[in-house]
Amino acid sequence: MEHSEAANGHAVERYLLGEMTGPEAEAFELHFFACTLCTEELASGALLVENLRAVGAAGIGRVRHGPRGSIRFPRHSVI
Amino acid sequence: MLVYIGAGIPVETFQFDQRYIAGIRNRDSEIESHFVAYFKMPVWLKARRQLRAPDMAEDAVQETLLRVLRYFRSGKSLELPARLPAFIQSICHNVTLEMLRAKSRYRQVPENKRDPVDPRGNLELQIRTDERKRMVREILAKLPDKDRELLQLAILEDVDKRELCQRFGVNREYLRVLLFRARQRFRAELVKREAKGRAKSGGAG
Repeated sequence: MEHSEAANGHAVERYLLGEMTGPEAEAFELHFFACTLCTEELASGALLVENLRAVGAAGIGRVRHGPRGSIRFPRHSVI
Repeated sequence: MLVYIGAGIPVETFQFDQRYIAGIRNRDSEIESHFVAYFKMPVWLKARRQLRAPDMAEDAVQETLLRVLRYFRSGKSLELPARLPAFIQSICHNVTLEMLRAKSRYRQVPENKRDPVDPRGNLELQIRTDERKRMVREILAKLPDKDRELLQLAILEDVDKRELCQRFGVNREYLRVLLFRARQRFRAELVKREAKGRAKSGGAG
Protein backbone atom coordinates (compact mmCIF):
# COMPACT_ATOMS: atom_id res chain seq x y z
CA MET A 1 0.00 0.00 0.00
CA GLU A 2 1.34 3.43 -0.94
CA HIS A 3 1.18 6.27 1.56
CA SER A 4 -1.16 8.31 -0.61
CA GLU A 5 -3.55 5.37 -0.81
CA ALA A 6 -3.52 5.02 2.98
CA ALA A 7 -4.05 8.74 3.53
CA ASN A 8 -6.75 9.21 0.90
CA GLY A 9 -8.62 6.03 1.80
CA HIS A 10 -8.97 6.79 5.54
CA ALA A 11 -6.90 3.67 6.24
CA VAL A 12 -6.25 4.77 9.82
CA GLU A 13 -9.96 5.07 10.60
CA ARG A 14 -10.82 1.84 8.83
CA TYR A 15 -8.10 0.00 10.75
CA LEU A 16 -9.26 1.45 14.07
CA LEU A 17 -12.91 0.68 13.34
CA GLY A 18 -12.07 -2.90 12.38
CA GLU A 19 -13.47 -2.36 8.89
CA MET A 20 -10.58 -3.87 6.97
CA THR A 21 -10.52 -7.42 5.68
CA GLY A 22 -7.55 -9.58 6.68
CA PRO A 23 -5.56 -8.90 3.50
CA GLU A 24 -6.39 -5.16 3.64
CA ALA A 25 -5.24 -4.93 7.25
CA GLU A 26 -2.05 -6.80 6.43
CA ALA A 27 -1.32 -4.49 3.49
CA PHE A 28 -1.80 -1.46 5.72
CA GLU A 29 0.36 -3.01 8.45
CA LEU A 30 3.16 -3.61 5.97
CA HIS A 31 2.91 0.06 5.10
CA PHE A 32 2.77 1.58 8.57
CA PHE A 33 5.53 -0.65 9.94
CA ALA A 34 7.76 1.31 7.58
CA CYS A 35 5.97 4.67 7.80
CA THR A 36 6.38 6.77 10.92
CA LEU A 37 3.77 9.23 9.74
CA CYS A 38 1.03 6.60 9.55
CA THR A 39 2.23 5.04 12.80
CA GLU A 40 1.89 8.42 14.48
CA GLU A 41 -1.58 8.96 13.05
CA LEU A 42 -2.63 5.51 14.13
CA ALA A 43 -1.15 5.95 17.60
CA SER A 44 -3.09 9.15 18.24
CA GLY A 45 -6.22 7.42 16.96
CA ALA A 46 -5.68 4.38 19.17
CA LEU A 47 -5.18 6.66 22.15
CA LEU A 48 -8.41 8.47 21.34
CA VAL A 49 -10.29 5.19 20.97
CA GLU A 50 -8.94 3.83 24.28
CA ASN A 51 -10.08 6.96 26.07
CA LEU A 52 -13.41 7.13 24.27
CA ARG A 53 -14.07 3.63 25.56
CA ALA A 54 -13.11 4.70 29.06
CA VAL A 55 -15.20 7.87 29.22
CA GLY A 56 -18.08 6.44 27.24
CA ALA A 57 -18.60 3.42 29.45
CA ALA A 58 -21.50 5.00 31.35
CA GLY A 59 -23.40 6.20 28.31
CA ILE A 60 -22.70 3.07 26.33
CA GLY A 61 -24.06 1.04 29.20
CA ARG A 62 -27.52 2.04 28.01
CA VAL A 63 -27.09 -0.11 24.94
CA ARG A 64 -27.89 -3.78 25.13
CA HIS A 65 -26.04 -6.23 22.95
CA GLY A 66 -27.95 -8.89 21.08
CA PRO A 67 -26.59 -12.08 19.53
CA ARG A 68 -23.55 -12.04 17.20
CA GLY A 69 -22.62 -8.42 17.86
CA SER A 70 -25.99 -6.96 16.91
CA ILE A 71 -27.15 -4.10 19.10
CA ARG A 72 -30.48 -3.20 20.61
CA PHE A 73 -30.87 0.51 21.17
CA PRO A 74 -32.57 1.90 24.25
CA ARG A 75 -35.97 3.58 23.86
CA HIS A 76 -34.60 6.91 25.00
CA SER A 77 -31.88 6.90 22.38
CA VAL A 78 -31.33 10.33 20.85
CA ILE A 79 -32.27 9.09 17.41
CA MET B 1 27.70 3.73 12.60
CA LEU B 2 25.42 6.64 13.33
CA VAL B 3 21.77 6.44 12.45
CA TYR B 4 20.47 9.80 11.37
CA ILE B 5 16.76 10.28 11.82
CA GLY B 6 14.57 13.34 12.02
CA ALA B 7 16.25 16.74 11.46
CA GLY B 8 15.67 17.29 7.80
CA ILE B 9 15.36 13.65 6.76
CA PRO B 10 11.86 12.32 6.20
CA VAL B 11 11.75 9.56 8.78
CA GLU B 12 9.07 7.58 7.00
CA THR B 13 11.48 6.82 4.19
CA PHE B 14 14.15 5.48 6.52
CA GLN B 15 16.18 2.89 4.66
CA PHE B 16 17.31 -0.19 6.52
CA ASP B 17 20.55 -1.62 5.17
CA GLN B 18 23.19 -4.25 5.96
CA ARG B 19 24.99 -1.84 8.27
CA TYR B 20 21.82 -1.46 10.31
CA ILE B 21 21.40 -5.25 10.55
CA ALA B 22 25.06 -5.58 11.48
CA GLY B 23 24.55 -2.95 14.14
CA ILE B 24 21.77 -5.00 15.72
CA ARG B 25 23.88 -8.14 15.49
CA ASN B 26 26.85 -6.43 17.12
CA ARG B 27 24.72 -4.82 19.83
CA ASP B 28 25.44 -1.26 18.74
CA SER B 29 23.62 0.67 21.45
CA GLU B 30 22.64 3.55 19.19
CA ILE B 31 21.14 1.27 16.56
CA GLU B 32 19.44 -0.87 19.17
CA SER B 33 17.85 2.24 20.68
CA HIS B 34 16.66 3.37 17.27
CA PHE B 35 15.34 -0.11 16.51
CA VAL B 36 13.24 -0.21 19.68
CA ALA B 37 12.04 3.39 19.33
CA TYR B 38 11.11 2.88 15.69
CA PHE B 39 9.29 -0.42 15.94
CA LYS B 40 7.67 -0.63 19.35
CA MET B 41 4.68 1.51 18.40
CA PRO B 42 3.73 -0.24 15.12
CA VAL B 43 4.15 -3.58 16.87
CA TRP B 44 1.94 -2.40 19.74
CA LEU B 45 -0.74 -1.13 17.35
CA LYS B 46 -0.91 -4.43 15.50
CA ALA B 47 -0.82 -6.48 18.68
CA ARG B 48 -3.48 -4.29 20.33
CA ARG B 49 -5.79 -4.79 17.37
CA GLN B 50 -5.33 -8.55 17.31
CA LEU B 51 -5.22 -9.25 21.02
CA ARG B 52 -7.71 -6.61 22.20
CA ALA B 53 -6.08 -6.43 25.62
CA PRO B 54 -3.55 -3.68 26.39
CA ASP B 55 -1.58 -5.79 28.87
CA MET B 56 -1.19 -8.62 26.34
CA ALA B 57 -0.19 -6.13 23.65
CA GLU B 58 2.64 -4.88 25.87
CA ASP B 59 3.86 -8.46 26.27
CA ALA B 60 3.64 -9.00 22.51
CA VAL B 61 5.84 -5.94 21.92
CA GLN B 62 8.52 -7.27 24.27
CA GLU B 63 8.40 -10.75 22.77
CA THR B 64 8.45 -9.57 19.15
CA LEU B 65 11.37 -7.19 19.55
CA LEU B 66 13.29 -9.76 21.58
CA ARG B 67 12.80 -12.43 18.91
CA VAL B 68 14.06 -10.09 16.20
CA LEU B 69 17.13 -9.16 18.25
CA ARG B 70 17.85 -12.84 18.95
CA TYR B 71 17.44 -13.69 15.27
CA PHE B 72 20.12 -11.25 14.15
CA ARG B 73 22.38 -11.85 17.11
CA SER B 74 22.43 -15.54 16.22
CA GLY B 75 24.21 -14.56 13.01
CA LYS B 76 21.24 -14.72 10.66
CA SER B 77 20.51 -11.90 8.27
CA LEU B 78 18.00 -10.71 5.69
CA GLU B 79 18.62 -11.01 1.99
CA LEU B 80 16.91 -7.65 1.56
CA PRO B 81 17.51 -5.48 4.65
CA ALA B 82 14.99 -2.95 3.35
CA ARG B 83 12.36 -5.58 4.11
CA LEU B 84 13.10 -5.36 7.87
CA PRO B 85 9.71 -3.72 8.67
CA ALA B 86 7.86 -6.52 6.84
CA PHE B 87 9.98 -9.11 8.64
CA ILE B 88 9.06 -7.60 12.02
CA GLN B 89 5.39 -7.43 11.04
CA SER B 90 5.46 -11.17 10.31
CA ILE B 91 7.21 -11.97 13.60
CA CYS B 92 4.60 -9.86 15.42
CA HIS B 93 1.85 -11.72 13.61
CA ASN B 94 3.22 -15.07 14.76
CA VAL B 95 3.67 -13.86 18.33
CA THR B 96 0.10 -12.60 18.60
CA LEU B 97 -1.30 -15.81 17.10
CA GLU B 98 0.67 -17.85 19.63
CA MET B 99 -0.63 -15.66 22.44
CA LEU B 100 -4.21 -16.01 21.21
CA ARG B 101 -3.85 -19.79 21.05
CA ALA B 102 -2.37 -19.89 24.54
CA LYS B 103 -5.12 -17.61 25.84
CA SER B 104 -7.91 -19.77 24.43
CA ARG B 105 -6.21 -22.90 25.74
CA TYR B 106 -5.63 -21.74 29.28
CA ARG B 107 -8.05 -18.94 29.99
CA GLN B 108 -11.73 -18.66 29.36
CA VAL B 109 -12.64 -14.98 29.13
CA PRO B 110 -16.34 -14.10 29.38
CA GLU B 111 -17.67 -12.77 26.06
CA ASN B 112 -18.95 -9.55 27.55
CA LYS B 113 -15.75 -8.82 29.48
CA ARG B 114 -14.45 -5.28 28.94
CA ASP B 115 -10.80 -4.63 28.14
CA PRO B 116 -8.74 -4.29 31.29
CA VAL B 117 -7.35 -0.84 31.95
CA ASP B 118 -3.59 -0.77 31.59
CA PRO B 119 -2.23 0.91 34.74
CA ARG B 120 1.20 1.45 33.16
CA GLY B 121 -0.03 3.58 30.29
CA ASN B 122 0.80 2.75 26.72
CA LEU B 123 4.40 3.04 25.65
CA GLU B 124 5.25 6.54 24.52
CA LEU B 125 1.80 7.92 25.07
CA GLN B 126 2.80 9.77 28.16
CA ILE B 127 -0.10 12.03 28.94
CA ARG B 128 -1.79 10.94 32.12
CA THR B 129 -4.99 9.00 31.74
CA ASP B 130 -7.08 11.54 33.63
CA GLU B 131 -5.91 14.30 31.35
CA ARG B 132 -6.57 12.24 28.23
CA LYS B 133 -10.06 11.48 29.43
CA ARG B 134 -10.70 15.15 30.08
CA MET B 135 -9.56 15.97 26.56
CA VAL B 136 -11.85 13.33 25.11
CA ARG B 137 -14.79 14.62 27.16
CA GLU B 138 -14.14 18.12 25.84
CA ILE B 139 -14.08 16.85 22.26
CA LEU B 140 -17.26 14.86 22.80
CA ALA B 141 -18.99 17.82 24.41
CA LYS B 142 -18.51 19.85 21.25
CA LEU B 143 -20.23 17.25 19.08
CA PRO B 144 -23.96 17.12 18.34
CA ASP B 145 -25.75 14.46 20.43
CA LYS B 146 -26.18 12.14 17.48
CA ASP B 147 -22.51 12.25 16.47
CA ARG B 148 -21.39 11.80 20.05
CA GLU B 149 -23.46 8.68 20.53
CA LEU B 150 -22.52 7.32 17.13
CA LEU B 151 -18.81 7.78 17.80
CA GLN B 152 -19.00 6.16 21.21
CA LEU B 153 -20.86 3.16 19.87
CA ALA B 154 -18.67 2.82 16.79
CA ILE B 155 -15.49 2.24 18.77
CA LEU B 156 -16.94 -0.74 20.62
CA GLU B 157 -15.29 -3.78 19.09
CA ASP B 158 -18.34 -6.02 19.21
CA VAL B 159 -20.76 -3.61 17.56
CA ASP B 160 -21.87 -4.35 14.00
CA LYS B 161 -20.92 -1.15 12.15
CA ARG B 162 -23.28 -1.80 9.26
CA GLU B 163 -26.23 -2.10 11.63
CA LEU B 164 -25.06 0.95 13.55
CA CYS B 165 -24.86 3.11 10.41
CA GLN B 166 -28.25 1.86 9.28
CA ARG B 167 -29.81 2.73 12.63
CA PHE B 168 -28.30 6.22 12.65
CA GLY B 169 -29.14 6.80 9.00
CA VAL B 170 -25.54 7.47 7.95
CA ASN B 171 -23.09 5.71 5.66
CA ARG B 172 -19.71 4.22 6.54
CA GLU B 173 -17.89 7.21 5.14
CA TYR B 174 -19.71 9.49 7.60
CA LEU B 175 -18.45 7.34 10.45
CA ARG B 176 -14.87 7.43 9.17
CA VAL B 177 -14.96 11.18 8.74
CA LEU B 178 -16.43 11.61 12.21
CA LEU B 179 -13.60 9.57 13.73
CA PHE B 180 -11.04 11.34 11.54
CA ARG B 181 -12.18 14.78 12.72
CA ALA B 182 -12.25 13.71 16.37
CA ARG B 183 -8.75 12.27 15.96
CA GLN B 184 -7.46 15.48 14.41
CA ARG B 185 -8.86 17.54 17.28
CA PHE B 186 -7.47 15.12 19.83
CA ARG B 187 -4.05 15.13 18.20
CA ALA B 188 -3.94 18.90 17.97
CA GLU B 189 -4.83 19.08 21.64
CA LEU B 190 -2.09 16.56 22.48
CA VAL B 191 0.50 18.58 20.58
CA LYS B 192 -0.66 21.81 22.20
CA ARG B 193 -0.47 20.39 25.71
CA GLU B 194 2.89 18.74 25.08
CA ALA B 195 4.30 22.06 23.87
CA LYS B 196 2.87 23.78 26.94
CA GLY B 197 4.45 21.10 29.15
CA ARG B 198 7.82 21.54 27.47
CA ALA B 199 7.67 25.32 27.83
CA LYS B 200 6.79 24.95 31.49
CA SER B 201 9.66 22.54 32.23
CA GLY B 202 12.04 24.70 30.16
CA GLY B 203 11.00 27.77 32.08
CA ALA B 204 11.47 26.01 35.37
CA GLY B 205 14.93 24.68 34.45
